[in-house]
Amino acid sequence: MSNFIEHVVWCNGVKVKKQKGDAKCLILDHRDGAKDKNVNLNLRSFVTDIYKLSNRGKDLLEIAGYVFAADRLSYRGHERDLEYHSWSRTFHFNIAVRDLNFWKKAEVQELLSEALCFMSGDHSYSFTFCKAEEDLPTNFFDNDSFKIDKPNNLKVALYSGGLDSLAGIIESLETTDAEVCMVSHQSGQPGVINTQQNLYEVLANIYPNRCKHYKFHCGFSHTKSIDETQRTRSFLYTATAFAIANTYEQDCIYVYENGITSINFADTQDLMNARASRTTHPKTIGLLEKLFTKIAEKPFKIQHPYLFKTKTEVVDILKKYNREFTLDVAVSCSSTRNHPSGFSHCGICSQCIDRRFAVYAAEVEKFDEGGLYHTDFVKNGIDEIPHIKALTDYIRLAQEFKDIDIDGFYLNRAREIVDVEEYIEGADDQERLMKIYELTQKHSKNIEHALNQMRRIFDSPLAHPNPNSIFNTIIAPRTYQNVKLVVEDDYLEGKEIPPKTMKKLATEACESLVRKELITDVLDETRKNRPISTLVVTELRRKGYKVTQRQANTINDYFRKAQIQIKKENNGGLKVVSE
Amino acid sequence: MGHKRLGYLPKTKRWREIVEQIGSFVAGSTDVSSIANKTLQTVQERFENLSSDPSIQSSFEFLVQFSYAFQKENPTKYLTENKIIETDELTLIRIARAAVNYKSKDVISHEYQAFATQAAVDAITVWYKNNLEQGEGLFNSELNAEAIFSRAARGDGFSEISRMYFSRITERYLKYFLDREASTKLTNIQDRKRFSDEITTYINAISKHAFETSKITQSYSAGWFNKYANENFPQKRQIRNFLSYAFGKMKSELLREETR
Repeated sequence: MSNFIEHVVWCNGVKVKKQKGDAKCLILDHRDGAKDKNVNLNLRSFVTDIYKLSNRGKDLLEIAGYVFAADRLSYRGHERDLEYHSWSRTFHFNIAVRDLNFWKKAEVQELLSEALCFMSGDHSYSFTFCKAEEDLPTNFFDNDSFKIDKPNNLKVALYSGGLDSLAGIIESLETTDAEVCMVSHQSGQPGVINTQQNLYEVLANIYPNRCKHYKFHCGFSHTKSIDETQRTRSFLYTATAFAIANTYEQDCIYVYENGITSINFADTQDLMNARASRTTHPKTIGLLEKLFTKIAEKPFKIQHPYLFKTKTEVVDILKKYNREFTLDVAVSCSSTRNHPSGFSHCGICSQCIDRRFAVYAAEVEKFDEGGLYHTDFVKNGIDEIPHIKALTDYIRLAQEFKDIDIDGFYLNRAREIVDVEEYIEGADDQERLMKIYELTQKHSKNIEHALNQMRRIFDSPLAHPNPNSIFNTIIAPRTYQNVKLVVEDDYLEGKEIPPKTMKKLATEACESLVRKELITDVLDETRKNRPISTLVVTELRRKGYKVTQRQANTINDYFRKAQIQIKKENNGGLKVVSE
Repeated sequence: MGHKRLGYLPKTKRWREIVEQIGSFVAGSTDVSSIANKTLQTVQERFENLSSDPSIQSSFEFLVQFSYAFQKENPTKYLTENKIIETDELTLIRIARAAVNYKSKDVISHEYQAFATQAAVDAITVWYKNNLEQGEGLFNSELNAEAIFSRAARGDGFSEISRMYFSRITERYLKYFLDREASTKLTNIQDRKRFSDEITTYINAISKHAFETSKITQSYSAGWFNKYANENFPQKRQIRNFLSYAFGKMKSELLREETR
């Protein structure tokens, strides 16, 4: 019995054949003029940007684009499935290519398959290639007779618009006189395009004539992605960078990502098999390196300079070169769906959490607080279940690493270490293990320092405690202040609030908080900053009411629109007034 | 580019009750044995069927191969000649890698393959650690790993490795479910750590009961190994039967606790 859902993918106009069994059929085409064009791949304009690209290079970008599109159009199961067998899929691609003799080689297909399976957690990738029709040159230079002079001093680097690639590019520009090719993938999301463009403009302004931005567009046309995840995106990203590097006769590309994110240790048992992404995992990098070496027919390297750095150390690089002001232009958020409008960061995905801790640990938080975060867990605390889970498990991982010796680390993480150790440099396996261990120790110290910083700023012992503060809910409640903590979830069998009594109940809860001196001052309530309504919601929950997020927003509106007000009386006391 | 696909438990009444039980762990009104038992009850058929999963069979077969190799005059030669280990340098990490790669193409579930390889690597590592002199580190370069592993060639050595394997696979399988929502109920990291540690301790104790205290499985596994592995390598059918027996024993031990 096989648990894998089979997907057969027909690309580039290959004639669709009838399939046996339950396999799902996907037809993908990016070619201009194709009847059912559903993928946007700006291959022609990309080639024009870099003047020329070999047939094999064009094939590679098309393959990477189709793999990415199929990945995003194929369901990977529900988050509440009992077991996650649907996560691993099987794919068979039928693609028309220009360099058929190369792609039909078994060893090439094995290298492709091995890299894609590891990075995605899918069961298998197989390919049937056939000969594509001759295509017209994309521009005047796109032919064999045109030779590009090998640039003297060039660095090709992946550029996502996030902090790590930004720091890497800045460090390259500061420490070398190289020209940096910044390579991006864009799927059409305006937020990502704007971020990359804004950041590029900032860099081009600081380092004139030193950097160039190459964008490869790959997204959907007339269709939408089915799954939120995009585990094969790093293949598309690195393939694009490789295509440029190979055209300009470079023998390496640079991927800047801190080691903790790259290795992405699972903080819960269910995060196995690439559910904790492996987009820049050392093994992914190693397997892609082998594939690109085969395609280039000469040794090709993917440099991963920040593998043994933590995110805090990456932020320190910006600090070192006085470039902290670029922090609020860079976007780290990995939430691709339901992205809150008006904010560049959701504030609570694993990347947002990691960034916030790094910024506090590096003590540059003032550069990162211009209303970037939809959920500001540091200032306002948290009360939603997914947020509590994400943060608790993130901090637990740092706690696991704290003060553990190398034996303990290996005993806890042996299976994951095996995957990493084989693909990093070091004289022997012990030296390689030690490098991974030291990275985790630095990470743990950074997180502890960040928590101390956050606590110093937002959890002064003399300030009124916020019951939803992460220091109360996750680290250790301030029991000496006798704060009653109630964090309930949406499964609670609480009393429903009759809509007509909502305002009355909110007023009473607020009065109760004033009486208990949990509110001692007139506070400003805004949509983002909710000091009163957060307390009122908690108080209502404590009284056994079930308060939904929508109701919490309504309560926020009462205070924001002054329908319920806290007023200071002449004697200095507080009075709650309701319209 | 890091991303984590967060998982949650199904919304059925049974799972909700388990989640609520996790919540009452802090107050002391529920202990981990009750939570583990309820969880296993909910997935008991799946748990028992683990014995027929090819990845689990392969990982256990690796442990048998490993113990069997140390009955030979030159274990490393046996392991390399049979392509079980890549090089003739026997280090803990290389053995772990060999466990991960052993028949890794025989897979019908990558979830179960992950449990299986994690448990096999855990079993070898913990067993090795337990067989070191007190105070010695896993990576002390003066240690003779081959000499230590030669103890795995005996029936009692194999029995102990097996016990750890079943303990770890059971623990990981239960945490596969419980970890998804434990942090939503046990938000304080100290409580959350205590919960995780107590599950490990409890399953270890259960496996000890199944293998040692009852003596049934211990003598069965030692006897099984001595009978089948002393001369020739056990056949697949014999390995399947052993797995079926041991998973059944672990299940009945866990469920028996519930009725006490």
